[in-house]
Amino acid sequence: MCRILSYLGEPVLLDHLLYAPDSSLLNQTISAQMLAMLNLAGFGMTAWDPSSHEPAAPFRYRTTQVALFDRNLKALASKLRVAGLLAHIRGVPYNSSVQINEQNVHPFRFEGVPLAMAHNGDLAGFREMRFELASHVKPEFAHQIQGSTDSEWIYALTVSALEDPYRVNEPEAILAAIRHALALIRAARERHGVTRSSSANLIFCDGVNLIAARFTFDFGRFAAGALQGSTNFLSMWYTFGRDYGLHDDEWKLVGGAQAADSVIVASEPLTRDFATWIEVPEYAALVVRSEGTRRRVETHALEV
Amino acid sequence: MRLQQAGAPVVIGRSLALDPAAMDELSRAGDPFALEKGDLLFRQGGPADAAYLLTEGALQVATRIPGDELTAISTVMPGDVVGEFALLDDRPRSASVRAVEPSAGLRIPRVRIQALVADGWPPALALFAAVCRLMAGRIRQGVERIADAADFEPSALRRFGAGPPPGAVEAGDLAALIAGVPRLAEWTAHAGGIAGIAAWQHVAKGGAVLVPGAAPGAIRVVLRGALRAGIMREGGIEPIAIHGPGEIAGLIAALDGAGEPLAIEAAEETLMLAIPAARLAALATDPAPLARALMAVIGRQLVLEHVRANRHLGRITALERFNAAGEASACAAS
Repeated sequence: MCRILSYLGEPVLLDHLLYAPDSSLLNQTISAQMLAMLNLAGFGMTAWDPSSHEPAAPFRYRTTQVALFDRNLKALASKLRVAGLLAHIRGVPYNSSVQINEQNVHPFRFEGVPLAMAHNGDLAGFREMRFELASHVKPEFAHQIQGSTDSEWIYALTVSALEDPYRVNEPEAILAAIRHALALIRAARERHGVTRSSSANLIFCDGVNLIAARFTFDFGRFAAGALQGSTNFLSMWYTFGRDYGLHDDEWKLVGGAQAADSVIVASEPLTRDFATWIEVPEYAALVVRSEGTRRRVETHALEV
Repeated sequence: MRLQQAGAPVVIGRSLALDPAAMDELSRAGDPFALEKGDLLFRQGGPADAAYLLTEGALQVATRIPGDELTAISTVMPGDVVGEFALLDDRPRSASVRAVEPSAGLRIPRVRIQALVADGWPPALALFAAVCRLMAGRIRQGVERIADAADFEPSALRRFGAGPPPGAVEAGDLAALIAGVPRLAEWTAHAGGIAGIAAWQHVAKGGAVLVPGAAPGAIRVVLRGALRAGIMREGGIEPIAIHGPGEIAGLIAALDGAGEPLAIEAAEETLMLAIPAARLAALATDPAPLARALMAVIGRQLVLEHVRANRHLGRITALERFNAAGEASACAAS
């Protein structure tokens, strides 16, 4: 299980998103508020900086190090301002069957495809299901799958469902591709008789639009216990405002909803006080859509 | 607004509608509090450890929404109760309360009421039941405000009740089913007794469980699967809550006796227990351990429902402002 952080809005210092708040993404490595697990299996980010060379192309950083100890990341974060961010810390079961390597660190993004994706959750029975899912992945993407995660396959299925994956797509097209990918997985689960709930909280971003899906297959249906999504729907939250920073000793977006233009979507609030955070509804996707220089936020039902 | 100054004396905890003798006894379980104008009684996100019965002054209830704006929810007047969730659950405060006039009243700590409920002291049992009724009324008001909001998002609506309706199923092993469902931990010792007052039901994904306006019949305890509760709109339902294992649907109507305000359907194939509303009424003030275990879970569910309804309202308000600002600037640009 993992934690995701994404941002679209006014350029903001990376350090303020990754490190500064009292429950920042990197603090969630060892003390997430809404997940009883350590997230030690790597850190990755894809970020867009409008003042950089070729601003439409993001810069990427992926490491299998525990990012809390990564001095290079800390140094970069105090210099870089981003207008778009998709960052992820990876949490995996505590045993040696898991492959910890850079290929398995999120976000995933194929060559020439603007859309990047990070996943929070785990598809039960995926290792058996993937062979039949392979036929739904375009060949040019299939050979780019380098890791062993279910997440990279969800990404491959989604971008394969886009008519033109090599351009910045409208949110509707991305939503349709996400629905298509989830429906393929749902059908494969049925054929394989999977009897575990499986969460697929997914955040997609191309630097222009952001789509965050909060979805669990067969939520609550099977034996309760330690399994994810059994009694609590895996969390996803968002907040918006104009100016993100330290105000009144608290990291938050201020400036009022009326003047707001910046949105944070994350697995959980970045602050212990989550009064100004809202839950993304279950079985739904939050769309942050760019319209000219402004952004709109919409909720879309995910019926899969 | 200040009718009580014109004549009739303030009845302590009037909105709880308890009998005067019980209220009189309860008053002795509380401590007096006083606030200057502008003082904060409690802060959103802060610990919830007491309920407050206002006898004089006025308090404003407000909540923060994204963009860090404060939205006033309501005004508390003498005779009203505020912060009563604290008697049902230890979840952090969902709103801030500030005195807008010099105010005074009675503070009732949760630990004291919990101990008195555990002892079976009738005024405390009556208070617990009254707070549950009051909460049901507040949630109903919240749901009505959501229903009245014109700015719902058509893209968030879902088809309602596409599957077959619920049907009776053979009784299962309740003790085994609630093991590992943390919300029902108190029921572990009473599985037999609870199964004895409930009917077992199964509903396929998409099946309608309750429709708005339905007469109060039974509450539904989700054992496996999930129910979706929402507002019926033209074109589908606007979801407010997903009730997973251990959650209870249909509480508002069962507790206040009016019609069901929500549309409730199976979000997943669901196995549930139906407990008749009439049985609930009798158990609400019953000191027996089974009744207390049942009411403890119901109390926590009510607090959760209230938080959800308020968050949903906050989301509507905040999104409307956020997106309206975009339209305004787009107009200005053209």
